[in-house]
Amino acid sequence: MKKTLIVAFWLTVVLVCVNFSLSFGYYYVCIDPGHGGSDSATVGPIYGVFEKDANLTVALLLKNKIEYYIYPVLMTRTIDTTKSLHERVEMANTANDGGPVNYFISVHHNSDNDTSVNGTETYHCDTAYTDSAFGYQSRGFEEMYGARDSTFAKKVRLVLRDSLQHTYRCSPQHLCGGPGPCCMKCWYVLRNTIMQSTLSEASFITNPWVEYQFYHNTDYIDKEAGAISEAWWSTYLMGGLGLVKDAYSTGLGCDYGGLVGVSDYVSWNFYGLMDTVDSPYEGCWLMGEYYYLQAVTPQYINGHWRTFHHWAHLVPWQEPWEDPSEIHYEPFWEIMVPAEFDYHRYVAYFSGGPYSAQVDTPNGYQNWNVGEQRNIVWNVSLGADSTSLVDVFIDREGGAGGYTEELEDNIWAGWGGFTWTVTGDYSTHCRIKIVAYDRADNSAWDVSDNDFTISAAGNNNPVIEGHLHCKDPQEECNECIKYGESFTLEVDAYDPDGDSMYYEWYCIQGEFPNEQKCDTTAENYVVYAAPAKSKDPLEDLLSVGVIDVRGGQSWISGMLGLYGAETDCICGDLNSDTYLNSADIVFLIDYLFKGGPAPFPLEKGDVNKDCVINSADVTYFQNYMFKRGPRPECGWICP
Amino acid sequence: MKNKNLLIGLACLLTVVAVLSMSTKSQKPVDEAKFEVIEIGTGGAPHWSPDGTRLAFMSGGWLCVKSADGKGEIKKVAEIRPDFLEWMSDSEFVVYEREYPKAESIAVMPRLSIKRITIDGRITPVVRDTTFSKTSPPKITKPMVLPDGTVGYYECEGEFKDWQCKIFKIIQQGKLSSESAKKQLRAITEPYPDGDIWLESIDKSIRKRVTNNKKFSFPILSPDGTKILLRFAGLVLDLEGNELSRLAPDLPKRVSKGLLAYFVEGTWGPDSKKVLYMVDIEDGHDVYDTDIYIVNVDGSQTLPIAATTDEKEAGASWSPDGTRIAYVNGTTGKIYVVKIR
Repeated sequence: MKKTLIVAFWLTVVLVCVNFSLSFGYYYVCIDPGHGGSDSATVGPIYGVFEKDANLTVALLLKNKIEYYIYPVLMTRTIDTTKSLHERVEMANTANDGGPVNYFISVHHNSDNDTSVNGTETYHCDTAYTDSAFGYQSRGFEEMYGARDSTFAKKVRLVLRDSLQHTYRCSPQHLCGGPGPCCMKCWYVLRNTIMQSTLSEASFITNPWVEYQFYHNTDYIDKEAGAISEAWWSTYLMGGLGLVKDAYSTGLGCDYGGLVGVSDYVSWNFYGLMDTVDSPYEGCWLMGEYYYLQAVTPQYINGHWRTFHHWAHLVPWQEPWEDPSEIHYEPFWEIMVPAEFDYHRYVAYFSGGPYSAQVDTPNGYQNWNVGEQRNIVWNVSLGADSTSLVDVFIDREGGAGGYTEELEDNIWAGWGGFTWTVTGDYSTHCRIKIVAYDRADNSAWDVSDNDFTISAAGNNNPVIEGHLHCKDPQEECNECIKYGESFTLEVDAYDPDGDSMYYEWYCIQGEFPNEQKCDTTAENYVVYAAPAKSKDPLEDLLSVGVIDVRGGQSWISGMLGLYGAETDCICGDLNSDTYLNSADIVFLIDYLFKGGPAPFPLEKGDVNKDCVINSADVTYFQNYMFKRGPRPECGWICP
Repeated sequence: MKNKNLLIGLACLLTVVAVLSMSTKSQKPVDEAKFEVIEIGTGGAPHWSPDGTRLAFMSGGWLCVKSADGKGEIKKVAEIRPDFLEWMSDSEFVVYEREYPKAESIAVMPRLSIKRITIDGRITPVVRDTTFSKTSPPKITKPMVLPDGTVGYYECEGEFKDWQCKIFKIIQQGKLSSESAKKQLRAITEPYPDGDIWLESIDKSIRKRVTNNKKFSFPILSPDGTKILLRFAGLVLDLEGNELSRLAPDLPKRVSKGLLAYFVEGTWGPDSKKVLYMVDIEDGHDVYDTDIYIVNVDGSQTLPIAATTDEKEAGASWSPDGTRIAYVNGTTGKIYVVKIR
């Protein structure tokens, strides 16, 4: 009876329904704006911008950019609504009549208690299996590629760095292996979607600057979306060979493939975003007949229209692949199917990169000796045809010389670096510049972030003795340094090889002393006029480098304090009553062992001037008071 | 007889121990009298055989089968990597695989194939799509098992914008004739995933609108064809789109700072009177707990099947007769069968 009712129900439906069908198309990419609805996620510190809203804004822009490439995009949400992670995964895994989309991008923004933090994290997942709830499905591509496919995640990061000047950020426990920066953590949507997937945390919504951009809807938001879009298509659409078409014969006859010489079944396999015009996607290609090929590529990259360079060639099918013997440098090519080959491959390459370049080594603070073999290492996003080249330059004036000295040129970017036998003048201010370019002169460049040193082989570094200190016998250096006074600092050093030396003084932080005086190369550093008095003591970390003429160098740093009140300058007067007595010892003991107040300035407690305030200072003071020991000093300069 | 009583007593004792063990970790009370728990083995989400006597599951890259009463050994059937796995009959499976070609580039698309696998591990290819590429959508879909037991898949055509899967190819005929089988209905949304609900025949020749200007997702038609369940909303509708009940009206809800509980993966009981569902607790990045419940279709008598606070119970499915539920503990990987008395 029940069965009868069910069949009757279906028949009823059949009778009342209109016979038609609509097409949904094929969802190529799924974009997942993270959080939403009841789950606001992070909240910005100034304007109260919700992360869920920032995610949706970027995701909708990203959708438009990807659909520009004619690929339909599925959104897990288009409004502020609550969706479980499970449902989002289900959407991506079953979007195409039960089948998955090709790519999944989850858009998030980051947070940190420190509102100054900003940067980009992009995650991928290295596990080959989904959760048990999904039946331990294999994710296939991880197994094929060794569970290390982080290309997209890396590219998002690189493009964001270039377009937004973002630093890279990734928690140490999430860093993935292999060269290049990326984050690896199998968030739920990454491990359970069964296609290439990534989760991007493009910036920190807790950073007031970032929050401002979203609150005021600046073009920064479009840049974030553009960076993800560019990384996506350059990874998945342009990655690999850029092969436009394979034509091959299966030997089964024209309708199902045919022997060349009679007819040839043409099968098209696109590995780049290309198309053909006036040439069949499939069908019979007759030997001796002429056909047009055209390679069409998107030309809008990173907000700019760029020139692409197409060429195509016809070569016999061969494994392994070899360079073609004939190259045609136009996007159009009229070809004739020849008779002499059984298998043919028509290929169109195009130039679409490089998109970014980065000097990894030397990136600052290295010390290389002339005659050594050193690796100069870079990270260059290859062009679509993977033929980008790199020229390498050096500047020995910290970049001020304009990088006119070329070390090597036309190195294939894919090598990731080259070995250089160090040569040339000694300098502590060397920087490397790489310029990566493709055949259409699309280029990207980068320089070392900081100086590195080239010194002579076998050269010994200067030796620094003792601490950075005030110069004797100038009296002011034995006294408390007060506002408005002059004083002189010096460092004691010698060179084991007898080389002449010079000095580089640097203010590392703070506002004292005067920045302009930091460039002296003199042995002694004279601060002629300390700043006028302010209400608080100042301190600054000073560093001095002792450098010999063959590039050897040693460095030392010291913290310099500057104080105002006269009583601050009575060394040992810890309780600031202008007297040195046992009350100062009690004050010091209370501070050290009983949680009492600290001496002001704190360095006054360092009466034995060993740069540490401890019981040895108590003993020193007691010896002065009761055993005629030396007078308390002021620990003004400590490393 | 004495031995039998002894065994029954032992089984009851084990059951009580098992239930007590569950309840010690449980945040929500479990009606111990309603359950008997059987451990099956270790693996992924279990699939019931049509006769309800065995369970199939993936374990260590192998398709495995074991008796649903927990007795006997686990039988390794075949080493496969399926995206989809289901019983076609009591002695045969249908699987859908996506095989990535051995290439350096990540830009390639997988080869798609549907295969039959007998219980003895004999694999027979049904269809293979090698044309799927970045510029060409797939020509086949993953297979479906229809309510009458018919198994088939769609053949697709067109480019991305006009891709259509209309021709339903039958791999194995079920109780209905081929033509009748293709007229069986399923609930869909248009557009996908959020849109109005339609009833559509498998051959897509028949469509009936259920809702108008609504945003619903993941509808499933009840086995008796009278109601529609929204799998991720816990909402039950009639075929006119009217709301009949909300199965978990308090979901989604905030359970602590940053954590929300969601209704997920609702599935109809075979009698269309109960619904099995899971509750995920997550923070928008990861799921930290999953529990399993059953509830009457009118929203009454919610019963926790497996609801611990420290382990993720998931992948639950009804036995064909509706008397048992199989699930996997996602934390330990162990598969259990719970008998509902």
